[in-house]
Amino acid sequence: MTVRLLSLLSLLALWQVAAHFGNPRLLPGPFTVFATMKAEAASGALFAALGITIARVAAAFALAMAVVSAIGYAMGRSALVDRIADPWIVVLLNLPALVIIVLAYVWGGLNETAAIGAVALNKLPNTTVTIREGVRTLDAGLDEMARVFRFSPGKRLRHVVLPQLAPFFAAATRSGLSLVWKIVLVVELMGRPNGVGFEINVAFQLFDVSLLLAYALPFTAIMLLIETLAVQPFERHVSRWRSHAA
Amino acid sequence: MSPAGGRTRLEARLTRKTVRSASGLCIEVIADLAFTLEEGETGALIGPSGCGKSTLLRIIAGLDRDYEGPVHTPVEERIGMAFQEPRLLPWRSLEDNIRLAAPQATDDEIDALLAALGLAEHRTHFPGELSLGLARRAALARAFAVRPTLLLLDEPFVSLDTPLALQLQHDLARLVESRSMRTLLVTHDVGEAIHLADRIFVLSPRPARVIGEIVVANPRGGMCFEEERMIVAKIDALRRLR
Repeated sequence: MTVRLLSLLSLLALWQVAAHFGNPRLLPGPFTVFATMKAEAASGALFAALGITIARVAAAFALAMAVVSAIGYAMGRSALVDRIADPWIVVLLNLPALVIIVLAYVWGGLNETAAIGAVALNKLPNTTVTIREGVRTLDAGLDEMARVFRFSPGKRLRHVVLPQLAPFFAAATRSGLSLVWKIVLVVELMGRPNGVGFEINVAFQLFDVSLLLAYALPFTAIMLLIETLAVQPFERHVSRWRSHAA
Repeated sequence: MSPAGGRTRLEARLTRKTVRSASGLCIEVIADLAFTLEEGETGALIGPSGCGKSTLLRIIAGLDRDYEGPVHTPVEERIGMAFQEPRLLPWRSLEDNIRLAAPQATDDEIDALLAALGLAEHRTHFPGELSLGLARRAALARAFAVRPTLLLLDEPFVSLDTPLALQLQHDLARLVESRSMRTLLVTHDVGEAIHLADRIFVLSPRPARVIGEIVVANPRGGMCFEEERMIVAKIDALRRLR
């Protein structure tokens, strides 16, 4: 932990040194950026933008995970469904995020539904593949055990299937979340009147690097915090029985 | 077969069962295999390794429906099964594993079972913390906890060292004796069959069929050494005959 902190501090120091010798307009030092951040926070604009972007991340993430769970499970369980859906997944996997976003705005209009749908669609193929692989590794022996002992469907899901899929859900959450929050910014930049992505666009038009960093850095920090405080503990919790292995 | 007998009897008349190997070949594992087991009896199917014993047990358990020939199991059957591997849920404690399979079991029943199988101090442990012998015991406890009317045991003592297997055999014989249920055991170990069963069905190598049936007069420790030797000789003779 101390090593990580020192490493982070040395990055800040390097930034300060580079800013000192470079053009302050192109690379403002950390103190300038913190001052801008403070001003934006005091006006309330920073928190409004962060709030709305995080809400979009949450909505797109939840939508994608719900759809992905259903499709991934069906693909992992049935060879026929897998054969039918796999080409679609491959096409979607190779479609650039930008194309999906532009098409969503053109077909759906510049609205919230199109924005969130486009983000969810971008996350879909990767995580579907992860969940499908997880379903394929389900232990047939435990499934037979559950059938012999007449486990109800709910009991089977909760005690037999989900514990086996938990590591795959954790991996899908981790990779999915980092993908979603990057794409949300692009969606906001292109077609939303608010949020961190929109503010970054404003900063870009004004050529104000300090303003750009004042929005980008807190957002990145929040996403990192969610990852360390929510996703990683969840991963540890679902795999706690492994550490007991003799 | 009388209609009344059909309701209480376990009767299998398999004519054919094939499995497809990984290379796509169709292999006949069971051919004309027939046996009957009455209520309260313990039957042992003994046969060489790989002769289709586990396949047969899976058919009886209702896990495999792809076979030819009728299998009658009594109506309202409650099955307790111990697979060849323990098949415990690794993410649930030993006690939770038992309670999930047998939600109707009372605390007293579970306490008694755990004590009888020497598992009392392991109830909060995860399966990964148990030795194979203990995990096998836990799987047996789970099978007994559902108060089965049909108990299916698939080589329950395989790959345990001899003293442990004997101890577990002894515990199992006591539990079987104390309950009224039908028990079907498959094994390749003649001694195991003799020590547990009322009725021994000797199977041929693949494709499996019953080549002889031996009724044990004084089962589960009640027999003298002489009797035991005679049964072993009979099984050997059956096997040589083919």
